[in-house]
Amino acid sequence: MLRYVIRRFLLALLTLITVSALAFFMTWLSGDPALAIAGDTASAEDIAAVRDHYGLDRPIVAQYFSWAGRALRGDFGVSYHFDLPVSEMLATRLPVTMTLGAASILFALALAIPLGVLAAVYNNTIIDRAALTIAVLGQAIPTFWFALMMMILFGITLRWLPISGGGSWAHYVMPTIALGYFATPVLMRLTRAGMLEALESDYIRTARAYGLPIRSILFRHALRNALIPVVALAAVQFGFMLGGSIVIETVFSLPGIGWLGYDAILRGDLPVVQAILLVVAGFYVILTFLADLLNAALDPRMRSAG
Amino acid sequence: MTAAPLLRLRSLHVEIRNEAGRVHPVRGVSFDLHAGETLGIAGESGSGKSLTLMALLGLLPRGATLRADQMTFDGADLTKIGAAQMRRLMATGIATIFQDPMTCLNPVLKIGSLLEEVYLCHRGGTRKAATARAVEMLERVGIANAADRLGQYPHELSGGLRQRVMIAMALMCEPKLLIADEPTTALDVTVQAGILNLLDQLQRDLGLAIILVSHDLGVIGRLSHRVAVMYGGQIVETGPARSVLQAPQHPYTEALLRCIPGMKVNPQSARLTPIPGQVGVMSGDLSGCQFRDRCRFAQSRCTEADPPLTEIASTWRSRCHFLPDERLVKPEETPA
Repeated sequence: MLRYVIRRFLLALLTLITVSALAFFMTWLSGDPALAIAGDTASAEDIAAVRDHYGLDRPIVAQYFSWAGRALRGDFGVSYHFDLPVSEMLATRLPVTMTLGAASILFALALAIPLGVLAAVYNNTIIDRAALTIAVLGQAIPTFWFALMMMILFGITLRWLPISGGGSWAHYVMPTIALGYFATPVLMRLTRAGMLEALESDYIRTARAYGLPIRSILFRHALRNALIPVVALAAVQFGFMLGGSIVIETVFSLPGIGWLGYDAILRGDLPVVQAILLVVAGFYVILTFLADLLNAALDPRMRSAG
Repeated sequence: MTAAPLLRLRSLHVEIRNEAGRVHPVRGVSFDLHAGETLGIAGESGSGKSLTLMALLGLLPRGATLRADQMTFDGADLTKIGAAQMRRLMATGIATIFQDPMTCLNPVLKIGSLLEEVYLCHRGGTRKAATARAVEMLERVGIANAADRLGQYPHELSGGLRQRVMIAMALMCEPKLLIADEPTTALDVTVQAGILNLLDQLQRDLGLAIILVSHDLGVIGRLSHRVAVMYGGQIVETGPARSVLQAPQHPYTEALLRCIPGMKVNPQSARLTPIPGQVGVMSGDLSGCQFRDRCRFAQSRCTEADPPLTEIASTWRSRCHFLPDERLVKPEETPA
């Protein structure tokens, strides 16, 4: 088990390094940052001054290493636009995104698992089709459109929920549904597939041959096995939601890092974009690592395997 | 054995309907089983032996239906009792052990919790009592350090130990009938012998009735009082184990025995004779003898008429048109 953890950890570390390099270099592909900072009307001297001020004239690899070194210590530089330390900006915005991500994944699981179980138990019936339709709609409907429709219905027509801002729990309801619904289909289909496989298995036949009640067969014997991959996927999906929150936060003006990232991209605020890319990707990597551990913790067979 | 049989099966049929049409894999199986008796059911895959048992347990796959003139266990009519009653009968009346102990025990539950659940579900009482019972049964099936095993997961045990755990689970609620579906097929030969000895011992100590299903007549011969050989969804020969294995009356029984080293029917036991061809699909026109295409004695009559179940001796019957001394070996066909 320890060897497994170490191997996974090293892999995660390697991924993180790769991601940081990508995050850094990719933002350079969008054009000359000095030009973006100085603005369209800037003269050649102004641009040169900006380049000198931010150290943009140094070799790009050297810039990466000094950036990565500082990032390791939690220093992501200063925002070009707000002239504030990026780390401070992240510190105020991150809790909003994390709350949204966590609420969304819980919402997705709360919807996906019962639907998945239902679909598997009533495999190939109308119930199965209905459950699948409900779930697949989540992925078929564009998230921003779904968000706008909810805003019209619950925010404007019914006036139940606020349509923008992040001041109270009520502000999170619609963003959570919009973001969580999008993640539901994958989780639901995995639950369904896992349940179908489990219900066909020999150990379920054993449970039935011993007259165990259907409740125990479904939830204790089958679902436990079926959920092992779902839990891992949910952890990965959580990371995905942090990225997916860019659209949702922007639509609902929820002040998290997604919205911040969107604005920073528009303004060419490189340090902010790089920091957000790194943080979101970092979370993604960490969550994938944790998902592997969680998988092992849930599946006794993996615990003893190398 | 004049007492009412523990299990009585009369003319059991199983039919499966699917997209491909209708299959009729079990066609009129009848037998009696008395308390304390071991019945061996032999036959290849596809002979209908497993489906016969699944029908008995109410575990037929989706799309399969059964009908039977009579199907009683311990006084209860299995064709009439409801699902709840059937569930209660499982484990407390009929307990089953399956072929592959690797896949038949839930991989995410501990041995202790698997055993205890069966007991708590049917007998109730405290968890402590269930644990005590689990330890007792694990010891009963010859597992050392039984108390320590409770905390282990199935994958931490060897195949033989797992099958012993399976047997312990079967014994948790004192069943009267133990169904062993290919209990040793997935195990090493050395481990097989241990499991067969254990089953033999348990039957003598507890007075269990056992239905032992195997494709291996050698395994069946070790334990069974009576044998039923199945082919094409029917019992083709049934009788006292010793008689059937020493002087098989049906060509299929004889052919099966010819596949096993060291059996009496093999004149030079070194040479084994495989049965040509494969078990047919049980659909369409099923008249005539099902074994005729693979039988070296087949005549035109075998295609024209269903062979009757002929009495050889008082409890010994064979489903063949010809007695052994009436048979003529078919002229050798040129292989295709």
